[in-house]
Amino acid sequence: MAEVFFFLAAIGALAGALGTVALRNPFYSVLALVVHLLSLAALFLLLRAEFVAAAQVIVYVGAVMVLYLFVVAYVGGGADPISRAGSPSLRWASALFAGALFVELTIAVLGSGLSVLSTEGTGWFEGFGTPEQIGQLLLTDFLLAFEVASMLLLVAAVGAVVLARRRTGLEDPREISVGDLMRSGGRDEIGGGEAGTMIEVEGPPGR
Amino acid sequence: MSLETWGWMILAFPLGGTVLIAFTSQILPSKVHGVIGTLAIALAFVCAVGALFQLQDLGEDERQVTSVAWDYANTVGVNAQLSILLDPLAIFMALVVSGISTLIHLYSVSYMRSDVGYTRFFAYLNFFVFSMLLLVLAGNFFFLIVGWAFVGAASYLLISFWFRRTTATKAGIKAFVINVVGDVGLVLGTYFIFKTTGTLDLLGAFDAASEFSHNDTDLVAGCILLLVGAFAKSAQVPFHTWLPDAMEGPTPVSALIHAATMVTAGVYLIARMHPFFEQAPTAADVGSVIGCVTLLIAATIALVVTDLKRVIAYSTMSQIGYMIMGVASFAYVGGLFHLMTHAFFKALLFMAAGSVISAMASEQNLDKMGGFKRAMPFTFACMAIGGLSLAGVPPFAGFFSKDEILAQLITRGGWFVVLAVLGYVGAFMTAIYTWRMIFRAFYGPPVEQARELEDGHLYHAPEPTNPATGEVEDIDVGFPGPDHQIAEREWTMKVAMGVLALGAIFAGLLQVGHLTSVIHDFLEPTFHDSPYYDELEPSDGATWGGWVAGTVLSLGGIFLAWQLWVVDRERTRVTALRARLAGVYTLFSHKWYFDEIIDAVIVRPFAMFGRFARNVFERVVINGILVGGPAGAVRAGSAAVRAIQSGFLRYYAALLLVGVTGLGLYFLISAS
Amino acid sequence: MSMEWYLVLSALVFSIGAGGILVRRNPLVILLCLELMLNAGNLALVTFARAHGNQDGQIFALIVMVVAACEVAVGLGLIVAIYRRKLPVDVDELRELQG
Repeated sequence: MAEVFFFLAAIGALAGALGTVALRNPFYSVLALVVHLLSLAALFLLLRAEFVAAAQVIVYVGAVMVLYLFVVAYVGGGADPISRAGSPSLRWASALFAGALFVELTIAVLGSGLSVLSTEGTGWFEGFGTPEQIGQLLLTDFLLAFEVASMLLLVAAVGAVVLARRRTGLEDPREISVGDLMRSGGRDEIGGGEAGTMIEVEGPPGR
Repeated sequence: MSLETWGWMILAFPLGGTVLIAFTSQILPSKVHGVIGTLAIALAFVCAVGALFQLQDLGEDERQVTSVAWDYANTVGVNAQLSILLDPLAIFMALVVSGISTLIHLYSVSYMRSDVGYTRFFAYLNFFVFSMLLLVLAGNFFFLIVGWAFVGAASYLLISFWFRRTTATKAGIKAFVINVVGDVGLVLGTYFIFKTTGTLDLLGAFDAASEFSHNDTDLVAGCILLLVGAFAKSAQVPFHTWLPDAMEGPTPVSALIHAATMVTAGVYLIARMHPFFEQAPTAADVGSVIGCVTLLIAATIALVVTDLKRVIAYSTMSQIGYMIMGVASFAYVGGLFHLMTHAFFKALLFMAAGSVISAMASEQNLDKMGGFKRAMPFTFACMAIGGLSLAGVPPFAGFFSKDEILAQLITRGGWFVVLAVLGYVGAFMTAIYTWRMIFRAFYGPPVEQARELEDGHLYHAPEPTNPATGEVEDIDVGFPGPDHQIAEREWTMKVAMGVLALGAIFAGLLQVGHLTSVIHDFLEPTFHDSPYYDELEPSDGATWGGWVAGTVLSLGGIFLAWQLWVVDRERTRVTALRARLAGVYTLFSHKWYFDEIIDAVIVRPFAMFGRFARNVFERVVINGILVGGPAGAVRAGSAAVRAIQSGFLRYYAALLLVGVTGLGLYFLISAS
Repeated sequence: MSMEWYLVLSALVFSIGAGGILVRRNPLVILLCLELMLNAGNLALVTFARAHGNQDGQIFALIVMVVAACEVAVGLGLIVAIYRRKLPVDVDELRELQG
């Protein structure tokens, strides 16, 4: 029984992964990733890590992917013709490298000689994947990681807001680039003094 | 006070004078500086006299005293101390230098009165006297070289005193460069001698002179290098070209430095280093020959030059030639005696010339002068006394000293007799050119300036000009002052010139053949180790013969000059002579083309080399290859590395992945 | 299923994600592929946790999820900013940061 579920979930995961990579429309790619993540959650369940599976569904699929969907809807994202990039040769080369990487990792795993790998998992005990065990560990052994992760979340949130906010008070957000500024020697007339994010953090230059 | 104290005080006073004048240059009025300067040197003279008495109190064998003030550096076998050597020769020179300097300072007090740089002048003059005294009193090679270099520096400062005059600054640079060549010779010569003697102390080195074998190559090389130094300082051929140009300096400077003191440093050097020269007669012979050659060449040039001060300059060159010829042929008494008398009459001649030039409002050309005899009687008298002494008319001082040298040369025998004969030829020419100068300036119809002076009014030029080139100048700092002072009106100038005139007349009596031998006896302790000192005492016959020959030649020369420049009012005979000997005249008036030769052989190649070094070597090799090479390599390397930063995100990702794959592969392989 | 299967699956997903990064030009999709790789890592972590019987792997996986979330937030913020400036949203066009 478990093998059936495993293969179903594995096929789902692979399909999702391939879909993410191969589908033209970024919207569809996001959806494919959602499929992949759900399959992974199933796999986690098969591995008896319940809490992680739940977190995967709620956090990853529920929050992160929804955010992605919003952004993709906003940005749009025309289908990017892969063919315009460097040609088929690039595709084959990438496929080759990916294949090489896969082969290496597989050899590494299978040839590692870890006896535990050929079993079904020896270490299960009562309360293996339960929230209370994980919570206990998080608040005792891994307290530092926990706290730092929360700091990281704060920083990321603030950063995301700053990056994406609409710039107010500037005359004309024209299409400029740092390169343009560098080439012009930083003359003030270009872009009303926009030189990059840091200046905008401090506010528009006084005029 | 002890001898050492007197000795150090001789040095202390001029140094103190310089420093005092320099530090109070803005505070005290300039008149005071003149007084300070003169007083400083006068005190130095007093100390020299004191040292003289103390020295004579010592026993005959103890009259060479070294006094060490301070160990300056004592390392790896080189012991450089600040020490002075007080012995008869040093005191003799100190007396001459400080005595003449005092009189010249006195003269300058009024001569330079209207010059804006009055204070600076006295500071420099005091510094010069200090350096010269340092040179003559030095007790080891190190101090001697220091004094030598300072004297060169002081000479440069004083020649370019009127620093806004281009001719003056060029002359100063020329003098300094040639001086530096001499400095190099001196230092290298010291090295060669030090190599064997192992000590820088003079007395110690002299004792070790016997370690050299006769005409040892090291010693000959060292002595010839010392001679190079002496020739550069004393303006002997071929290092003489700076002396006529040095007349760009004010007249007191010419009187002090280029007549009485600095140019005699070479003579002093050879006399002081006599133990080495006696061990290397080859070098000494070179010195004698050069001295003789110089005295002849300089005399011939002086016959045709028209600038008043330059005639006297070439005369100095010629007389120093006599002195060098003397001391290099081991005729020490003659050479040094002539040094003393020459100081008197040459300084006197320069001072009188200064007076005449003032009357001419800075015009120095003999062609424009004439007939000052009635307008400036005192100046004329001084000039005449100086001229008679220079020409060697008995009983004036120059007669006895010059003949002393020539008589001692004859006594030396061999080919030195030839030198002596040439010396007499030079004496004849000396008489001619000296009196040519005096007759042209003072006899004949008075020129406009002389007539004005007879009316009691000193001539004033409409605007100040450079006497050599005629460029218009102003009277601000760096140029001569507006007023000119003549001897008839200034008591300081009269006193100075008067004392020198007395010296020029009577100083000869100190060493008159067989009658008095004050100089000989006085200098005995310095030269007691020289076999030639007593050997070269001239015999009666030589002395009397020399006196007769000398008198005949000098009077004959004066008579010839009289005939050519006074009796012959229109100067037709001179003009005819000039036309007939046109080639010779051109050679003499171009100063034997030494300037041109040196320019072509040395100056131009060096300038070309300098330009080559700058344009080719510096620009191409150093900037281009040595500096640009590594810089270019770095630039190329970073350009190559920069290519990795292509800006393509996927390129970076690819690099990452390829790297990881490769690394994994490596570990896989190494683990299996 | 023995643990090997899970690990091989994880390696496969990881390689697919890596290949996707090299091939796609839209930065959004590249970020998605990055997510793929992260999740593959998560799978491997949980597998090992199960294999050894301790929960460190699971905690690690949770933290990875947190980090992934932060990274996604910032990355998407960047892409929105780029889009706002009317610059082409294409990694091949965005190459100002070059030497």
